[in-house]
Amino acid sequence: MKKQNTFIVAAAVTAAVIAAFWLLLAAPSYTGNAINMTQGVTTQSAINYQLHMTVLWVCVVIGVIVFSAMFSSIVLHRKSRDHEAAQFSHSTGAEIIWTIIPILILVVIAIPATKALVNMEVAPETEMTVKITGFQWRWKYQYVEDDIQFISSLDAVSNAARRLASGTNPRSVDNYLLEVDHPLVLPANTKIKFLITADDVIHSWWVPALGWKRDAIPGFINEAWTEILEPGTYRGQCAELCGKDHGFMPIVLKVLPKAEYRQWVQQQKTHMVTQQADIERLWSREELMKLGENVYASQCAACHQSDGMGLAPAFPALAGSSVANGPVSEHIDIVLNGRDGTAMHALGNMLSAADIAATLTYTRNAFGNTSGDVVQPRTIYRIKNG
Amino acid sequence: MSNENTHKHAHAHDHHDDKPTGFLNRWLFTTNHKDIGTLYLILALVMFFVGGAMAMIIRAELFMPGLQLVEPDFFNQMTTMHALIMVFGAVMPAWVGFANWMIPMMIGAPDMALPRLNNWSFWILPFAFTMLASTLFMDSGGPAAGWTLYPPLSLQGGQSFAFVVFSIHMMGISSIMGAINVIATILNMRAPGMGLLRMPLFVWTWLITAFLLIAVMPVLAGAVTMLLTDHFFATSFFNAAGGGDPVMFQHIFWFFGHPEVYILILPAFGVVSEIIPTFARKPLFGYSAMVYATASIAFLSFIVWAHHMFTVGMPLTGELFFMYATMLIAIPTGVKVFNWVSTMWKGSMTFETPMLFAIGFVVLFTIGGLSGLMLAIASVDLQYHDTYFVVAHFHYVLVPGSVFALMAGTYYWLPKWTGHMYSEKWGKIHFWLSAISVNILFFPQHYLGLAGMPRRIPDYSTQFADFNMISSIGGFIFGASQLIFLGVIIHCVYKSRVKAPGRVWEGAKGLEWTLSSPPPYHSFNTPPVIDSTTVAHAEGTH
Amino acid sequence: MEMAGQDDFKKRRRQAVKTAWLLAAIATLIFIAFILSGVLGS
Repeated sequence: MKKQNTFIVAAAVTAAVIAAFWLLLAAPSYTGNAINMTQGVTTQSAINYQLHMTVLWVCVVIGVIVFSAMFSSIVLHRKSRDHEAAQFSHSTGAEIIWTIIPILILVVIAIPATKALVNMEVAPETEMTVKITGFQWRWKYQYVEDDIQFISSLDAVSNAARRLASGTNPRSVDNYLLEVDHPLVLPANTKIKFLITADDVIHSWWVPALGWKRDAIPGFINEAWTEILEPGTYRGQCAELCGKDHGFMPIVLKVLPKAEYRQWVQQQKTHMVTQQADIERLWSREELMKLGENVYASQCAACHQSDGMGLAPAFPALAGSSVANGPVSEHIDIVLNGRDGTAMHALGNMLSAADIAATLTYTRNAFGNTSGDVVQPRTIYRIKNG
Repeated sequence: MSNENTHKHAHAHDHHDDKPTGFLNRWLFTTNHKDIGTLYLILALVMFFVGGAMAMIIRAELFMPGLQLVEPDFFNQMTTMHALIMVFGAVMPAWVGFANWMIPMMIGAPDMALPRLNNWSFWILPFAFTMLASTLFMDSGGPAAGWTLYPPLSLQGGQSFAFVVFSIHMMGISSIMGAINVIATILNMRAPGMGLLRMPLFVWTWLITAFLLIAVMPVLAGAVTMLLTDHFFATSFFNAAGGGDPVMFQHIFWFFGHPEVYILILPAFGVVSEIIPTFARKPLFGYSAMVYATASIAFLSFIVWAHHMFTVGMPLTGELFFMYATMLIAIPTGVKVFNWVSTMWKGSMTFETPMLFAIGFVVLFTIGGLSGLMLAIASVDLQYHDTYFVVAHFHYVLVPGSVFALMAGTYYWLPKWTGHMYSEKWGKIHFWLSAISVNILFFPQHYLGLAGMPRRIPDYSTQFADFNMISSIGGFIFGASQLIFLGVIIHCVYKSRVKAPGRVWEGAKGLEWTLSSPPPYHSFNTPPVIDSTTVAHAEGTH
Repeated sequence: MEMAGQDDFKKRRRQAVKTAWLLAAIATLIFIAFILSGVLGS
């Protein structure tokens, strides 16, 4: 008798743990940590949320029926209650019923699932196009119609705090690991087409509020579309393992009302004209070193380390290296075009001429390197543009 | 070719039932199905703890946000190695160990059909895993691109990649040889009267599993061979830079990978279908439906592979096909669950440790199966894919699924194998600790995934902190609980003085229970007489 | 009785070796087919 009670208590505890978990999932009002899929800000994300909840409830109901049958059997049909074992071993009727009913349930689920997928995959006429390219470990965004492009990387504060034993409490960092230096700015209520690809390995571009993710695959261009209904800031991350800093390439969307978005585009265009003038002028060594230090910290230090000592064996040291102290043309070539078979990928299309020139100048004159070379942005610009 | 020798060998032992003397003769040169089964089970147990230690490192790093213990690259090596070792080193060899021990005894054969092939299948494995593990100590580190080895990322690995590929080749050859042996044994070595539809469900599920292995292990071998030549010999099968197709690798990999996950679970269905009737003292409900459901699941496993790839950008018709095909799997799987519950229904149940693990299996595997149905919905999978929701799903079907079934089977047959009873008290403590902690470990991972946490990241945003901490605590308890399992086994093998009878469990049916505990070195030197009292499924009871 | 069983085992083991070679051939063919699909596909 005592043995039986222990069993029932233990079974009840386990059942209660599992049931509590399920209930938590079904309770949308739980605050604090998010525990359910977002309803998002697009029609696609709302449809997916609805479909997710429908199938979840179907599963909960099936689970409750099956488990209640099982647990009532466990309580009633036990030897300790002197229950005689029946000897039946099949029932054609029951077997037909529990084959047919699941088929019907599946058909009922398949109908909205098909509709949702069609809506997801068949793009309407879109009003603008953004090309997204994944790199190890940052995103490049190109606004096809407006000829704007920039790179978006993990912001400096998170990037410092996420180092092994950095001493910084992640909770003291705003949007830890989900903040970038240049967010992707998009207009609200506009049908946008995304062309998604990658430069090195496979990445996956995912902002949960949009309701989908799409793999960024080198050599392929994937298409996806969205129409964001509410202005705001939405965050996501790379979802496909892409190497050591896979966890550190967030995505931030800044969605503006249409008019504000047009203003932003104009600013970017003016900015680009100034940038071109900037490339053509002669830069001072101090200017380049200062910019170079910043660019190095955000773009290079992940592998080559902030002290230039690298991380053996995959990521070579720059301090005292034959490249950083050798002929400048070879150094420029490696930075612009990358080095095959290593994690050093081409930066020529990722960074501006000024950023590259500054980084080269910095790395050739920091970490104890003393080449004394000053690389001018316009030199890089000429090499890049033939 | 060598039938004469095999025959003489078997013949010699017929008259001298004693075991070979000397450690090398007994274990290294063994051709005995029970000894080889034991070796497989020991290897699997060791690998279970090695892979488990890696999981502990992963959960410790994820205990709170920020990096406290390991660098991201090492973290990736841990997730990759944890998966490779658990799949190829723990669960698969464990099932082959069960097959070796039980199939000859269950079908009334003296041994496996091909005893020397059997020796070779096993002894390849320790070398394969030593080689795989050695990559962790090489300059370029262990594999870090995930067990799926997707190129181009996997091609960025250093020289150690060659060792990884070669060790996968060895595991593949071992699995194929093991599967050949299982099929040859089941098709040719059954005792007279042991018709196919009289075989225990465990034998049936292993027969089907073996066909899956032969069909897909060569596919994996082909895929990793192409990766090898892409990495070292400048071919461009999958390398986009050279005109190759990285998505083709994913198609080939998952054409292997989806049947592979059924290779891990089908024998579990078999074991549970043996245990539940025993402790319910009632025949298995719907025996032939169980056989056909297993075969249907195996067939469907070949046409659902691209549900792992809904985000790669397939044509709409392709996505619809793979969604519908995947949803269909719910039907035969449902039949199995309903049949297990019906077997319990109106039985006369007792709850010894094997039954507890079998019931835990049915409940928790069903939860994993239901989240699988959710993942099948292609449109919503664009949210679920590559998140902790997926991690929770496949751990539910693999840990309280396959691994619980392995433990259930171990407790069920351990007295048969050793001739001694294990400690029921500690077995039950092991069960309850495992069953509660495994839920604390994996259930919150559903929330993490739904809330937006991608898988395979060493660090995360602070909004994911609470549930990661809960999950890690569950993980530590689960990990520690397995030491009890080890203790119970060691106690049963070396210390237990309670003798086990031939028919260890009151309600047990099947040929293995007609033998003594422990059984003779060669199971059935003369074919047993089969009648409806010795087998669980006599004709007419489907 | 026992000798009859042994003859039976001998015959069945010979059959098992045939089954094994057939299965090994199938496995090899699948391996070659997938490598070829890679070669022809690229």
